[in-house]
Amino acid sequence: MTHLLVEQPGPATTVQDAGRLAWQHVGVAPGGFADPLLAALANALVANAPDAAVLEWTQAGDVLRVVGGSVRVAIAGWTDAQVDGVPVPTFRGLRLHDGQTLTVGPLRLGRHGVLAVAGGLQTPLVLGSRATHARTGVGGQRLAAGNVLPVLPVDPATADRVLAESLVPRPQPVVRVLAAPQHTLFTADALALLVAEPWQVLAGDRMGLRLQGPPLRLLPGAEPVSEGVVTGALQVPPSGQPIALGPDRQTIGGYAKLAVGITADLRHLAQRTDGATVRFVQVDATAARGALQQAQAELGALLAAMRTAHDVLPHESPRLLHLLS
Amino acid sequence: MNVTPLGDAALLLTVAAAPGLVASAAVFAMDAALRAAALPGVVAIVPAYTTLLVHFAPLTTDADALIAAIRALVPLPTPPPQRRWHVPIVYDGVDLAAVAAQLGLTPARVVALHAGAAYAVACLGFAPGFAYLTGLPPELHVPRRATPRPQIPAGSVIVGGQQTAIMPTTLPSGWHVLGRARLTLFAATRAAPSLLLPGDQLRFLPITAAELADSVPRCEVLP
Repeated sequence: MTHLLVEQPGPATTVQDAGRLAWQHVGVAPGGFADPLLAALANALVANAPDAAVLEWTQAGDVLRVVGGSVRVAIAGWTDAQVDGVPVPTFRGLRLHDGQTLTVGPLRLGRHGVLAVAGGLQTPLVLGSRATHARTGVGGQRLAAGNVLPVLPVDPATADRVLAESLVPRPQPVVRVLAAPQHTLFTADALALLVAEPWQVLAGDRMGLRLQGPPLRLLPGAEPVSEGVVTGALQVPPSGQPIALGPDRQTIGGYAKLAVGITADLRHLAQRTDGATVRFVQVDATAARGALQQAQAELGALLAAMRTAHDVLPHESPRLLHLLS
Repeated sequence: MNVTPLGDAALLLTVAAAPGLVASAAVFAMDAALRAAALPGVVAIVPAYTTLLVHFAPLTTDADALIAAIRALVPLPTPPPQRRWHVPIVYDGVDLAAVAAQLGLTPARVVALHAGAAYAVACLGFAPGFAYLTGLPPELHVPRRATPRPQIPAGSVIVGGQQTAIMPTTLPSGWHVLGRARLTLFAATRAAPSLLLPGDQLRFLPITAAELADSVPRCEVLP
């Protein structure tokens, strides 16, 4: 059976798809793509549906060996990659032959990158999704050396597709937010502080990003009751330092929520690296909806801008490889 | 019922002012109505103590139309509790003595109070299969640990604030460990992945460490 063998995992690589939203009522985190745009682009470059299962890596990618056949992959992310030591382009479908090794290096920009495989990764479905929630083990664990990732045999007739990297919207340091219903539990200046000051990402993972800035204070006597939470929520523990919830968030939370990042900007939030800053801008529901429609239109334009790649890459041709060496 | 957006992809439905059995009944009734209605665009319904969070697909759902449809729903009367779980517990947790000292009780009294109370599942969250239980006697309300423990083993019976629970998987927690149970609270491959469901009743049954290996939680079907 054709598969990818993990020779050396990145620091925090997981299999992700659109997640398992419908099981939150029994405590299962939604999970899913941290940067849905990169996932959609990587999948489109290998002619997959937008929600096919991919590898999502953090800080750096993995070293993967192709075993048992040829595969087609695409890397979406600001990084460098090689096949058997020969540089290969990102944002382009790549044909990998049996025995070849793909190395995806550290990211130059953003926290996450995506590797899509034609046909989608064929790891087992758990509660309707292949997404990995490493914290609880639902859908498996982070990638480890020796892991086997089943893939579908590649159709040799399918042409490789390519997208100019310059067209891909880069992660932005500004995230638009909507006030949360519980903002009334905070002091009157809390929302103003949130949007006035830059926030530094202290540390984070797929569950959330811990932010540092001026303390946000609850009103005396405010006792929030635990309730459902959303990805992008800025929840504030007693320390006054908010946590921006990511896709591996818990389903119910007891900390008060001051604001929520809009869906269109969740990828920008998720892509902030440790030590980077993020600024928040308050918008209203109409603006949030407009931003989402605009993001969808931009995705459509990017898909339309993908071209068939006619050039043969050196690693794809033994003859070219020989000439290079 | 108050319906208000939480972000641009969820609606928060508040059906009661304060947690309790009355609030839970109102939550269950609205949960039943929402699931029966299967409103277009709704991707998840998350019941909690006094609220339900309705997640929807923001690109393809008209939020205003969804709010109107939810406001038009009539809560479904929910049947009375149908299941009562009896969970054997070895009360030998690492925090039992410290909790007893903090509350001014003997460890035996803490065990008697904890095992003597009747509990009900208000909702599930925090981790897969993690049931928030109501019914902890006020004498056992104890502030959470200042520093959470990085690893609380699966099966640990814990108390924190006004709540008690059983850990479904090994996870960090700031709650205190009173004892341990032997049960699988969550298994993705099971027809019903979560053992406990909202509305279930639950009692703890003290056993010895020697009895744990053969212990199983018993489900009593209520008349």
